[in-house]
This record gives sequence, C-alpha cells and structure tokens, in this order.
Amino acid sequence: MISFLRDLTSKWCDWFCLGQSPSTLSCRFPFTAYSCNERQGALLRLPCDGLHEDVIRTKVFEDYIRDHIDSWFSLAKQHGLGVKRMEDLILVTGCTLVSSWGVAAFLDDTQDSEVSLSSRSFNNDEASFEWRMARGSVAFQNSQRDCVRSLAPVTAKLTNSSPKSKGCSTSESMCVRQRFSSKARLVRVCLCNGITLQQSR
Amino acid sequence: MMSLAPFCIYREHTAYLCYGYGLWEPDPGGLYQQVAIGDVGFICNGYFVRMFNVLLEWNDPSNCTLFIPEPFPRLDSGPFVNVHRSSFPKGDYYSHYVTSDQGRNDILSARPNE
Repeated sequence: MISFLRDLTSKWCDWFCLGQSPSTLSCRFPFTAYSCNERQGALLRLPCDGLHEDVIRTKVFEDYIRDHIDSWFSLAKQHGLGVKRMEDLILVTGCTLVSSWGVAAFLDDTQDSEVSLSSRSFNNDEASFEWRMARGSVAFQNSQRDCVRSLAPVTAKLTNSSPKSKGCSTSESMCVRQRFSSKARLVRVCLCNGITLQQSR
Repeated sequence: MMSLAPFCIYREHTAYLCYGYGLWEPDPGGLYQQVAIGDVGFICNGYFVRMFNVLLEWNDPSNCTLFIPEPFPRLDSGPFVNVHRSSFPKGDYYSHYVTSDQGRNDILSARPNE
C-alpha cells in the first residue's frame, strides 16, 4: 500500500509538471527523509551503479606493507605531509568508483536530526541532488552535475572549479574510465578499502 | 556533543557498512587521477591523499607528483588475476541509527559491532 501510494505520488508529480516551464527536481522526484535520533550517523546516496574492485589475495599486500611501512612513514614526515601515526598510512586493496554521489553526516548526538534528499539520474550517469534540512544538525554535500561530462576520446585528466552544495569552492579533478559498461565515465571513489600496518599484523 | 568534524563522523559510521573507508570528499581534488589498488596514502579531512602506487615503477611519472620517492621494488602480486571487479548497486547506504521513510530502495544498513 505504501509502495502504491509512493508510485502514485510520483506519477502525480510528473503529471503536474507537464506543460510547465523547466520543472524543478523536487517536483518530479519525491524526497526521501532521513532521520537520526540523538545519535550520529552517515548516509551515502548513489543514484547510479558504481564499479567495485577488490584484491582477492591480500597476503602479498600485507607482507609488503610490513616490509615498507617504516620508509613510507619517514617519507611522509620528511615531506611534511602531516601523517602523525604509522597506522594512518593505507595501502589500497579495493575501491568503489562512482560517477555521482551525495553524502550526509548526522552531527549531533544530543538531538533529533532530519534531512531530506531528492536526486535524479541521467543517461550519462550524471545526477542532480536537492537537499532539504528539516531539523537538527546535518552536514551534507554532493557531486555537481556540471562536473560530469561524457568524454571521447579518453582524456587523462580534467580539472574544473565548481561550487559545492555547501557553498565552498573547490578545484575538482576527474578522470575517465572506459572499462565499465563500455562507456566513458568520469569516476570518483566513494569507498576506499585498504590495509594499514595495524591490520597487517 | 558535536566535537567531531563531518568527515570523521562519516568515515566512522560508513565503516560499519564493511565496504572500507567512506570518503567525505571523493574527488581527488587535482592531486591525482583516481584512487587505484596499490595506492599508498592517507586520509586527510575526508579525502584521500595518494603518495604513490606500489604496483607501478617507483619513478613512474604518477608516483612523482607529491615528491620523488626513494626507489622501491614494485609489488608483484603474482602471475594470476588478483582483482575481482563487480557492479556496485545504486541506492542508499546508511548507518544503523539513520532511518529512512522509504526503506524499499535501501541496499544496506548496519549497526555498530555487527
């Protein structure tokens, strides 16, 4: 029943928008509300499928990090990278690559927090996001639609300056991957799996 | 209590999903092209800082962007395929204490210690 009502609402929004000037995201795509009651928490929205890669045999990586961690830590200190502990260094053994993302962190564990999110994905794996803050304290941001471009031929690297949803400017770097879906995609890594010295012991 | 920065909270709570470190800022920010298996680096303010990649030669141009590393032997993971690749489904991923009013599209939620 709930599912039916949600579908009906979605269709009603589509009908409502017919014939109108450029429809807003919120009109066509209903919001989903996320709440966190007196706790901290995290949310990741992926409007499009991503690509996940993982090393199968990790032992060789574990052995390698044990053999080299001292020199890596020395290098990081020598070059002033701000790595305080050896355990902070990561050897990546897996990652999840996506073209668009929305993230939120529920910050305050003393009060209820709620945020709503609507997203729309497009054919080329771009996505638009719209956030609505309801209550409490939630930090959020997302990839920018105008930063994702279909590219051909493959270009090694693109840079672009764009505003983020939270209002701060940043220089973004993106790259192209052709292996997935035989289509050029701009990818970002949203989850990074790796081993540290601690885990290799 | 609001002592932790968003990227710390995000990283801590996405860890319960068992997919690795959640990056608050997934874009490389001009530091490198993209995170790859074999990268050595660290997480700073929610983004990954890549120092070099040990599956490449030590003096590969991409290994010499932050600094010139000292020569190191390339990590040889053997003659056989060692990387599994799969599609990662779209959807919502959130930590256990977060609730959604639209549960049907949610892929996974997990609680600490699960």
